[in-house]
Amino acid sequence: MSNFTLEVKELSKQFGGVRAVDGVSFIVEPGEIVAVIGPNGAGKTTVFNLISGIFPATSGEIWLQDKRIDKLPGYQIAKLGIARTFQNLQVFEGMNVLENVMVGRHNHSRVNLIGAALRWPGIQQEERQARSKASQRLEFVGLAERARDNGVDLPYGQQRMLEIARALAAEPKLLLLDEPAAGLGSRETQDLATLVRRIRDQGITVLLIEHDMGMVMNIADRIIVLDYGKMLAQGTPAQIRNDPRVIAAYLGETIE
Amino acid sequence: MHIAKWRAGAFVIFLAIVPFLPWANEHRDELIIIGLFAILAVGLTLVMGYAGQLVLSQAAFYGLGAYTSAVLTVNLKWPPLLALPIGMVVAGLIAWAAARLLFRLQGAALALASLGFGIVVYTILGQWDEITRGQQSLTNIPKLEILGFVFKGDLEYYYLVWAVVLLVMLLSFNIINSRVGRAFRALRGSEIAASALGVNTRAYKIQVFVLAGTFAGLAGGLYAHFRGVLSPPTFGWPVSIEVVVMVAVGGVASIWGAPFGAAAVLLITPLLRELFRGTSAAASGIENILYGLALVVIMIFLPQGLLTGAGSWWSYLWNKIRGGRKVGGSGFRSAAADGVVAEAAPLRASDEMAQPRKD
Amino acid sequence: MASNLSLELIWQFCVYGLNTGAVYALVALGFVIVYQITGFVNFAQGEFVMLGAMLTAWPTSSLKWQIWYAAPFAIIVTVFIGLLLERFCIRPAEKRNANAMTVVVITLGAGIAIKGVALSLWGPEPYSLAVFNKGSFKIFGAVILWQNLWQLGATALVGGLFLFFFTRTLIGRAMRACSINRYTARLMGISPRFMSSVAFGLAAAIGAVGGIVIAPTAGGASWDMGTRLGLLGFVAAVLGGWSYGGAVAGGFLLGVMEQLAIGVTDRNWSRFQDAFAFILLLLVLLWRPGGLFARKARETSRAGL
Repeated sequence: MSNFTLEVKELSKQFGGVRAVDGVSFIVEPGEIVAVIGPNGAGKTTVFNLISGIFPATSGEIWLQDKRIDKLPGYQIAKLGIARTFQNLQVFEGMNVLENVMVGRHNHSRVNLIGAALRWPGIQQEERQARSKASQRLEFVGLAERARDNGVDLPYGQQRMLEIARALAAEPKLLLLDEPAAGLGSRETQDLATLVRRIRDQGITVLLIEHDMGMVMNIADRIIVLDYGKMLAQGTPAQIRNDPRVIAAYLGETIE
Repeated sequence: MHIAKWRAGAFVIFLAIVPFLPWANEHRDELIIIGLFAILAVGLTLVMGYAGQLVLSQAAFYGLGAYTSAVLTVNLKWPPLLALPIGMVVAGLIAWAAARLLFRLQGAALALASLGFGIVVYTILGQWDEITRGQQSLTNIPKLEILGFVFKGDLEYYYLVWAVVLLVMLLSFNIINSRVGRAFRALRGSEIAASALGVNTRAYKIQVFVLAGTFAGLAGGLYAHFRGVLSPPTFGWPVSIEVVVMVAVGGVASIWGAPFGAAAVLLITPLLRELFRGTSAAASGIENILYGLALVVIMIFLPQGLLTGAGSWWSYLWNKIRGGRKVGGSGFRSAAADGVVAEAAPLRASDEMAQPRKD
Repeated sequence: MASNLSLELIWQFCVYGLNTGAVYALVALGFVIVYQITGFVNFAQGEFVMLGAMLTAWPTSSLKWQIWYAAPFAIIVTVFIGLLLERFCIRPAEKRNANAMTVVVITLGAGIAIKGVALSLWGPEPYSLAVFNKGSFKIFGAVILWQNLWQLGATALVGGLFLFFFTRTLIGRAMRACSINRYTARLMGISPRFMSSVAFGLAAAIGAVGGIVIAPTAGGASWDMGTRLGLLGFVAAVLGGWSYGGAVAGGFLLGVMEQLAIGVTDRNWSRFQDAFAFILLLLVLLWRPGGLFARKARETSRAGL
């Protein structure tokens, strides 16, 4: 019996002379909200990129359920149930909000090139389904009224929501959010926190990178702290808040 | 149907009557050529405008389709009705093989490699005398015959070719408005995000390339049985570039723009040559200068081409007049989308390097 | 295989190859500079070669200029055109966040326009350029023209200057920093715009030099010579994996392989010689997508290389 558990073992990534990620290991249990924090440059996004298969690791392993995924191409990892958002927004230009989210339904449809060209029977049905599921996700994040607007014309905060809706449309079991609160005001951040909880309540595990400590302490079940590519500490928010090493890393003091 | 019915209907009616209009009824062969290039342009629009990949090899598949059909009918005496589709299939197969190689590259390298591929094909077609008669032209290609009706006149060929254009456009619209089409468009928007949503980007790039190559092969076969004679320069790499110009003029991501761009380029060029008839060398130079400038200006200011570009420029201006500050402009990337906030001054280089670069 | 193949003949082909390869190397260097600094591939690189050749051949043929001032003139004008290209084509595109494909089409268009101007100004007939020094000599039985030494020497000189420039001078190190990480470079006070211009200027100069030294043995300067040389330089750059050293090595390798393939095959195969370089490219792509000297998978960049 295998859970949709993510396990990262001794993960390392080297870029030329820089070790962006150095021997990081952690586990994410299903149904958790885990936050990854750390100063800028600590390697957090690199870890995400490794998990979602954007580039291969230099060494280490990543396991999902009972499958080893670190050598798989990105799109296959997505098919296994991992979805993500991006720190520097990757909203699809030239498509409206609804179409953006519909791309998230890609794996839930089977039409291929020939079938699409010839409008095989059943396409209408699939399109309708894709459209309605996508609309549902838009409602979930509160973007339903902007469905027909151009994706890239949305205000910054709403583009973030769009990415989340898009990722959710893929019906993932694990959602990676890369700095979802970046650039958001305090009201928007609160809304985001609520949203993340609702996502978890739907049975989706959430792993997020975030700098906003208020939000992190608020919603995370567990926190992982990275610094200089290494794992510094992990634990509950209370534990992390009082951990002297974490405090030192953020304030830049040397530890005795 | 996703195509505005009235627009499609008007277009069909327009096409039906054009060959009888004053200038057109004496230049039907030019209209046929415009139609063939429209097919090439639609294919390239799918690759460039939808999947976002620049390829400079359409002329190669045009040539492959033409020569295959011609050789089968001339050397092996097959009926054109059989040889034409086979030419199309051959073009498609070679496109598939080429795509598997070419898409190991991206961006500019892909473009140049596809140009190189075009040169390889052109060289083979031009030098393989035993089969293609090479530089001496392959002649006596038989006319196309369907169910006893022989397509030998300009008028019937015009309708045939433009019927194929409409078919190709229809197929393309169907594709665009499906999950496959969205996957293509996602490719152009952000390969990384597309991948993260489960799109097998490599497979899709290959598919769209093969489709464009197949369309081109079809156009080539039609050309062969229309002209009756083939010579290599018709399929040289400058032709591939001409198709790029057509796509740019018509709108990189616009299927409707493809026939428009083809017509614009093919009709305006001879006009310009006439205009600059003074020194004959200057005249051919003008062609290059104009194509070049058109590409530069359009791609900088109106990447959506003249047709759609004009429309979105208008709405951009309109918004400015109304004083609204839109985040991002129509067609141009918004600063926020580029993650200006997120990318501002990373404190450590390693974090910035860890970002997947856009594009 | 041709029947009377001797070691001497093969060596001669190699020598030819080194000469053409020297110019491919220069063109490839031009590509790599622009790519490394700006992240774009400049489709118009081949036209810099043509301009260098034309602007030297035309004044010497028609205006009776002497080569010792025609050549610098050609280089300066070509550099100027390269800077114009950067200023009016690349920069506006960058300001509008154009993606890599758009920029490629833009440089493609610029190159075509330059070709057109050349055709209009100078006509379709080539202008001949005399060899700088007449005569030849033999090394191990292969004929080497003094002009060939100019070709090899130009590449060696440029290569050496590069090495010095990039490793020893401040500007050179700044350029390298810029190519590794634009944002951090900007924080350090290096202006990517300035670097961009420098890159284009250098690429134009190098291209022009290549054109000048190859024209005498390539049948002179003609308006369309840039396309073929540009393409081959590009192939060399890809073979070399887009590094400076790789570009030079790739250029020589390409030149030699091309000449050997043409030389040792009989008419049945050598009639396809125009395609050899690209067939080689496609084969290399099959085997080593990152170039002949690639080590590991590199991260994608704006030009996608």
